[in-house]
Amino acid sequence: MRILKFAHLDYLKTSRMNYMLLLFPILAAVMLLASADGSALFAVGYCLFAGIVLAAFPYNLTSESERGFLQMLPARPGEAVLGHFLYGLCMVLASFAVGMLAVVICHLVQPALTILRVDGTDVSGLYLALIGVALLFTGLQSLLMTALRLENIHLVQIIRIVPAFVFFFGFNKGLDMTEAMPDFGIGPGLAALGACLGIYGLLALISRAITIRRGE
Amino acid sequence: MELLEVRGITKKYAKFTLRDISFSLPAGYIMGYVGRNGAGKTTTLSAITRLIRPDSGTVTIDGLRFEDDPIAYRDSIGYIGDSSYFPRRMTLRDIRTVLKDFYPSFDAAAFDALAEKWELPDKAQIQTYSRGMKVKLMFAAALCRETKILILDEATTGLDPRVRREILKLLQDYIADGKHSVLFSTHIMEDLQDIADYIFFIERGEKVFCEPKDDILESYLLVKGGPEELTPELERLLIGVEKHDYGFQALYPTDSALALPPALSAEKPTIDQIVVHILEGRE
Repeated sequence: MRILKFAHLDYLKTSRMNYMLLLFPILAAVMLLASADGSALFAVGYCLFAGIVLAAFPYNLTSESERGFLQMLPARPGEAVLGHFLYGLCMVLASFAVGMLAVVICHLVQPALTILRVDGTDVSGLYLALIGVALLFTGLQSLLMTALRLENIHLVQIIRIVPAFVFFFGFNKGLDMTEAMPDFGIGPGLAALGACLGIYGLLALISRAITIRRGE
Repeated sequence: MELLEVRGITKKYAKFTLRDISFSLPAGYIMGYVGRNGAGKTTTLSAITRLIRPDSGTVTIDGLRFEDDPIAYRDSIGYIGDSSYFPRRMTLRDIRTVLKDFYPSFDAAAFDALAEKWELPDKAQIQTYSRGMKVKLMFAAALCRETKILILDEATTGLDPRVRREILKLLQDYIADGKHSVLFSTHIMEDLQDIADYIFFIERGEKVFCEPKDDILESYLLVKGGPEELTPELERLLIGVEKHDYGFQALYPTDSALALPPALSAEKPTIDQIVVHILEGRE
């Protein structure tokens, strides 16, 4: 229950920045509608990129002086970091949801734009796999932020931005390189998402162990 | 009954060590925790609040150790720092929500009443608050729930005298029922002179003394005299001798075997004067 409260606290801390979550799907929709061969997968990936960046805001916006408030909240050691991971999960899912909403709206405006099939191939599972990969980058980013306990703002910015860009350019390159899209239905997609969620949970537990070891 | 018991707290850093700090504070009293910058005040308070984990030693609040129940332990402390510790982009409304989320005893109506009394804007971000407003918000957050001890780390520094007086009155009200205590680290000795019952004096990470304030004030006299009156025998006895062209000033321990020469003027020192002379004496 307290983990949920910490995730809510992260939301309150970052709520004034979360308008960006709505900005990215709008940009994605504009790009989709403007391009003749726009890809719905690209648009959703673009929004997930934003989700990874936004998931790191609670770390970025936490200064040393805030420890007196945040660390004094009645909780067991390590619960705050699990709250960060829960918040990260929510941001990735929210960015996916608004991304999907944007492509559905684009599909209604431009019916030629396909979402779940590309050239007759089922790609529905790729969306789920994309969420999973975005979660891996978010988890890795959170683990680094926790382990390195960053006070250098430049390093924080790098860790906040680099995983998101690696994710974005990585999947974009993957889309470009794939000449014929393989069939990737819901089944394999769910399996990939499940595996990534498992790793995300593991990264959260490692981060928790680090903070407990430090006595926070 | 001892509300706060600190036993043998030690914390080592590369360039500083807090060494074997022990003291206790009964319920219904205020302790001033004094020392100069870097003496170890914040490290001690951080070890008590568990913002840092001490290398050794134990702290109990009303008999409870952090290790026994970290949630109840932290719930029993109201902590007010030297600078605002609230996330700077949050508003008073956000803080209220967080306090309500985490503290079962949080009294939202009392919090709103204090916020209104102190004219704290509820929609502005905390980073736009003045220093006085930030301190008041920290007090509102700490006073509107059930705590056993208030721990203040230089909380009154930089406040105007009117706000400081208001806060000192709040602290006295807080302990009035005899069930709560206040541990108060400050540079402003005048505050301690008015409200502290005990004084803990720390220097270079070690305890210098920890005694009831009245006993400390009774233990010394501030003596002043001309240069010719400062004999070597007297100088050895005095603490923190400050020499000027026209004479000297020092602390005289009242339990001294040597009687004061009648030509010297003697008066009751303030806490500030005692601390300054003891520090000079140690140098």
